Amino acid sequence: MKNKIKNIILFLILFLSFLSLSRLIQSLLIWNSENLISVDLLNHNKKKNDCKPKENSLLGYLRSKNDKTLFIVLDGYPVPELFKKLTLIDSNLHKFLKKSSDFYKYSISKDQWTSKSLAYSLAGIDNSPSSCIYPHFGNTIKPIFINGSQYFYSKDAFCKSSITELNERIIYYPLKLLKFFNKNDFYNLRRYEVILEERKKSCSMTNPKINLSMVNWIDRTEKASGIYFFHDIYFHDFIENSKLQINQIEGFLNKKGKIYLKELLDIDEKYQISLEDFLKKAYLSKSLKNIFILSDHGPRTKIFKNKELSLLESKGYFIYYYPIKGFDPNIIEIIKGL
Amino acid sequence: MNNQRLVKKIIYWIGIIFALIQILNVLFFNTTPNHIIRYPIFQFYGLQGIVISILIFFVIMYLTNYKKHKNSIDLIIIWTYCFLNSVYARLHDSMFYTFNFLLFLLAIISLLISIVILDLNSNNK
Repeated sequence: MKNKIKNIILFLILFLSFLSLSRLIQSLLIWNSENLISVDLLNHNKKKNDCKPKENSLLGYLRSKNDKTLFIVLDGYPVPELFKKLTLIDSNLHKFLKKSSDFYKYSISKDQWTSKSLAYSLAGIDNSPSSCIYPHFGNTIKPIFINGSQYFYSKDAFCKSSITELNERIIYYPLKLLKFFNKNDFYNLRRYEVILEERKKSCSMTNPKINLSMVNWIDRTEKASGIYFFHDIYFHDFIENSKLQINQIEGFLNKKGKIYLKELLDIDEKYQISLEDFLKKAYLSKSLKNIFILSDHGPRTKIFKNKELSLLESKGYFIYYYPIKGFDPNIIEIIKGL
Repeated sequence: MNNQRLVKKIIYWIGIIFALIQILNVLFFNTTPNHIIRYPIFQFYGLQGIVISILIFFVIMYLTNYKKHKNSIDLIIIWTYCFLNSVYARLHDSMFYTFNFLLFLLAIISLLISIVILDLNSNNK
């Protein structure tokens, strides 16, 4: 009898092991064919020269100048016209940026996805193969990330809004599992999403408390030149988390949608206050030469049927230029050409 | 009995192939989605642990391969190695190692342990 049970179990294991092997092969084939950025031991360092930022692009030009430049990317933030359509109020942030910047431009990006949209607006790479995308650019650029998020992360970043590193994941993932089994309250533990939310709030351009130390951090980094990125995903995550509901109530202005409207206006004000404070401190920086505040695409909530508005909503972006140490007319020409 | 030996041998070699594919993937084929980039690359995507992983694989091969007949402990060792490798990869953003997939591997290990318990019981009697 025992032998029979053993036989059955063994054949079950054989079946499961075949199944898991075939699943592994299938997953790897799909995964590696869909994603084109190589991160294996052999190829992760290889440079693709055709992915180099074009010489007449912002990144190409700034690299040749060897200036310390900071790009603050407000992921998915709407252009002023769209903001007004969404809220019926002018954006405080845009009013401030328009007034304080030396040059600005609102335009339509080539793509509604960050990687390709910024590949074009920053590096002039159009219709690029997937490996020539922001921020990788075929390994031809080593961007310095000031913040780390669940999308773009650097171990040496000034602040981190995600739980990405192995040691942190080992500590925090059990909380995620407890949430799955709904046991956090039972064990009196903090929820995974609460911890994550706190990190996102503190490591975001909406938090003015980090401004001074961030400028000092940029000044302290050894390299005299370099392209710094603060890729802010605070607004992006708000939209992504509320997209379904915003879409169902067809916007932010519906009675039921007041909560989203309030939050949108709140984020706008927070960005304005914090960026105003940041710029004041950045002007005192010893090493920063230029600052750009830009977005990559619109909020992509798909609530507009009007063609023009839906284009702004998916691909509308803005760029504001702040020369910290000396105005450069070449940069204006490049931005005009976008 | 001969049947069981053959099945165990096949399960063992499937485990070896599984582990080998995982190692080869990290060495030569691994990719990341466009919107998930970690710097410095050599400290993520399972690359920092690859040397230890290969060493453990060779130790397991050495310890288990010289025997003609594979016992259940050998199978548990190799499949536990595959499971831990998969968890490690999952913790490094290899999203294709889904929760269900990891449960699958865990099921294999649990069933192998149950065989060891059955063997122990029958030996005691």
